Amino acid sequence: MPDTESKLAEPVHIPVPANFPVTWADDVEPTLLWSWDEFHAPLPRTPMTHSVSEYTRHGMTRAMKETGRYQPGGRRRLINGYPYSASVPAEDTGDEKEQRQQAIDAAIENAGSRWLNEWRPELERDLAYMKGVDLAGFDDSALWSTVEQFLELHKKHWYFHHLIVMPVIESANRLEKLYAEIAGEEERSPAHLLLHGAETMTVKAIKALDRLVEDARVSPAVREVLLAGEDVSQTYSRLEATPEGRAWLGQLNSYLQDYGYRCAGFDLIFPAWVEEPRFALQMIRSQLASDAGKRNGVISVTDERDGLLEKARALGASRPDLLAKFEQHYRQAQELWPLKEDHSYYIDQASTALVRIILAEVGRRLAAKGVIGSPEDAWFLSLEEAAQALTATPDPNIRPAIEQRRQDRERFRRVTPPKYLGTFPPDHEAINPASEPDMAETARTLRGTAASKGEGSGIARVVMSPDDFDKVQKGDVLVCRSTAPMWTPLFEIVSALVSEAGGVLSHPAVVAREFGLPAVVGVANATSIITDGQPVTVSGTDGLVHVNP
Amino acid sequence: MNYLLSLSEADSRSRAGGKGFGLHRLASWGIDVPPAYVVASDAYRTAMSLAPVADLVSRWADAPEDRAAEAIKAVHDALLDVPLDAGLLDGIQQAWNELSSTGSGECSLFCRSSATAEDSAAASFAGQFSTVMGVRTPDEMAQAVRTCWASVWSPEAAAYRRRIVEELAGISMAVVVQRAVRSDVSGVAFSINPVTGDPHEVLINSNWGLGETVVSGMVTPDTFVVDRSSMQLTVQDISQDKTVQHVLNSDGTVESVQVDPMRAMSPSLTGEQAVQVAELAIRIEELAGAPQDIEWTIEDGRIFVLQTRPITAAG
Repeated sequence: MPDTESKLAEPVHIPVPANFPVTWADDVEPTLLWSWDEFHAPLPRTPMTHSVSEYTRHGMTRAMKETGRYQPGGRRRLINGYPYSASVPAEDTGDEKEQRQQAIDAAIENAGSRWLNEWRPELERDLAYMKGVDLAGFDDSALWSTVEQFLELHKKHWYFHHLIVMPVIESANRLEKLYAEIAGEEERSPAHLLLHGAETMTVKAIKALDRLVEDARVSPAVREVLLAGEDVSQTYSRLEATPEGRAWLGQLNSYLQDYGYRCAGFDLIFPAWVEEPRFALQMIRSQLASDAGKRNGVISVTDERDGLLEKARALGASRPDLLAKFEQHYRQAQELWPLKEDHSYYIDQASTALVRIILAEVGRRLAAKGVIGSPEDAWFLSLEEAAQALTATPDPNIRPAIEQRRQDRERFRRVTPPKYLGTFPPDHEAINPASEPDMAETARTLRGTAASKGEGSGIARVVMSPDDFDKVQKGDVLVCRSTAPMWTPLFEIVSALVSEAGGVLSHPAVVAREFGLPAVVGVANATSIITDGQPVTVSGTDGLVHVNP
Repeated sequence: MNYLLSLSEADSRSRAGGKGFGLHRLASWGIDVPPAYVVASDAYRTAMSLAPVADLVSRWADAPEDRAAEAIKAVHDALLDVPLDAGLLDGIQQAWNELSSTGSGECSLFCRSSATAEDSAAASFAGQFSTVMGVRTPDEMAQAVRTCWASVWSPEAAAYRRRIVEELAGISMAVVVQRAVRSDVSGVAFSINPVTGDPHEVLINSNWGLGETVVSGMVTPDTFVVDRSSMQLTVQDISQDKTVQHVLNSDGTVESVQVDPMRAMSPSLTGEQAVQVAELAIRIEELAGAPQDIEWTIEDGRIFVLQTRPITAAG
């Protein structure tokens, strides 16, 4: 029998699953290792989103080139709607490594002040302009010129994005290593614990939502309507019927103006919160229904941070040089850490939502002209096709093409794409998985199998055994490995179910449907990715779990 | 009294329970089911009327809220030790003789709870009550029957039932005693799509070995969708997570084993088999007159149906 090492010396061709056909464009493609970016595209991308992603990629490439991190030879493509990328690892010479480290140090040094003086003011100016544009006032050709203008701004925003993220992550990594050097490798502590407690835009958004919840709680008229449990569209009109309701809706709208420019999913086809208040209303309703003191997690983590810092300072007392370096890096990391959330508020969320909003207007106009069947059909067009349809003679075959693309997307959204395609290089086992940015506090979407229709939001409770049952409160979202029949009493109080294992015909899925409980099953690693206390939204119709920071 | 019913005699839902009555109907329609007998629910009622058990039930009825769980557990424990009627013991011996003369090799049985309220269209108690696998002697069979009875009074089953059925004492329990099938592949099939409510699709989940891993949600199974009008396979989502299977050993015991990684990623059904399972689900739906949720298993290429029940909630 061949030993393991000699087995690994050969490249391993990965078989293509029967349900996921791949046509390679050339002879090189099948020899590369392609991986699916499941974090950013848990569902097949719509053609429009794919088209727009060319702009964000352009911004990324520019930033990478400027900071010496650009690796030529990488390839990207859509396979059955899912984005895959293949990178060609560059040979690092000692000199290049040295240069790169210098570039990183310089970037860490400058990022904080550039953010405050350069990037953030420019983002705020751009976004204020994009929000203020009166879309209805344009004729079709002026509207499209504005689309192009928005896309150019979006491209620039993603250039900023990649200039910001690298120093933030690198400074946190550097701090983590230094902490381990002082306290010992076995005491290594994730950077986010050391740096917890910053007043980021994310924290502000959570606090603003909490205020809305509290205001609703103390106003009987508002509370009653929100808890009535009917369809959210009715909730809105019922609130409009009373003075208290109208006052509260005024606050909701100002919350949405501040924090509602964010798409509800990782594709432009998902509306922004500001477009459809039901997302916020649902979140508020579930928090209102839950009587738990949900935010006590914040306090305990801050205590943990202070404990870690004290320890580093006590242990480092005998090594003043090392401790001084730690303090310096700590100050730097502390300054940069909030950018990890804040850049996302301005770029990933707001800039993207504004691009969606203007493209949705294009969709409405195309539908009104009868070029496409419904405004939503526009997401199945590329930018070029949409431009032509809006400003020139539309392609007569556009409707059947849209139908075909919609069907393809439906077909492949029901298939779990393979993580890897192509060929594993001989040293695959040795490849260090790219250090994943710390996801604990970052918004993301997980994908599983839709098992019970409907949408539910609430505070995640990771339940590993019946010993954890006590911590589950009314309105929480149950997150578990798999559910045995004895867990079903919990189904009566939770607002949604997420499980790592299981199919749609399993017992827990059957019972979830009986209870009308939204459920997504087969979500890989759900119990390790989702942490206790995070607000999550479960779409049992789409099979998606949106994890909010 | 005749406590042991053959499948052809199990024609009363109140005596045979939902599962037993379902198997009676399947057999009468000519669907392949494993050889089986049903311990009638009368036997459970007789056991419940015996002094120690009946006393504990009345103590539970009078118990304050905070002692209810304890009182339920006392009934549960008493049932595990309850003496069996001589007629029932005779019946168990006879059923054993009959079942062990079918098939080849060591005889092994599955004893499945078949509650009279279970599997009705109004409320699904799927999986709430015990199934005892790997039963290899008449004595073990007698104890498995007690275990199924006692599961009516398990704290979990009681909590689940509170929501749907008001009266705990109103339930009665038959037990299906089935010759074990050495399953190569098993799973569940719904004759319509229960998630979307789409009546044009049959949905199938499958995994290697016995079906428990699929039913309980222990693994992420393969998913197959068959379009009912064309009878074509439209979706096959092959799970790479079929890492565990339950197997029936040659000595009749059931074991949970790791699945070889390559096999874990391979389709557990061929497209042709998936269509056959779909055809079976549709045929049973037509015979039953309502969309069905069936558990099936394949041994040496032959498909057996282990149970069927109406789909309780769809769309």
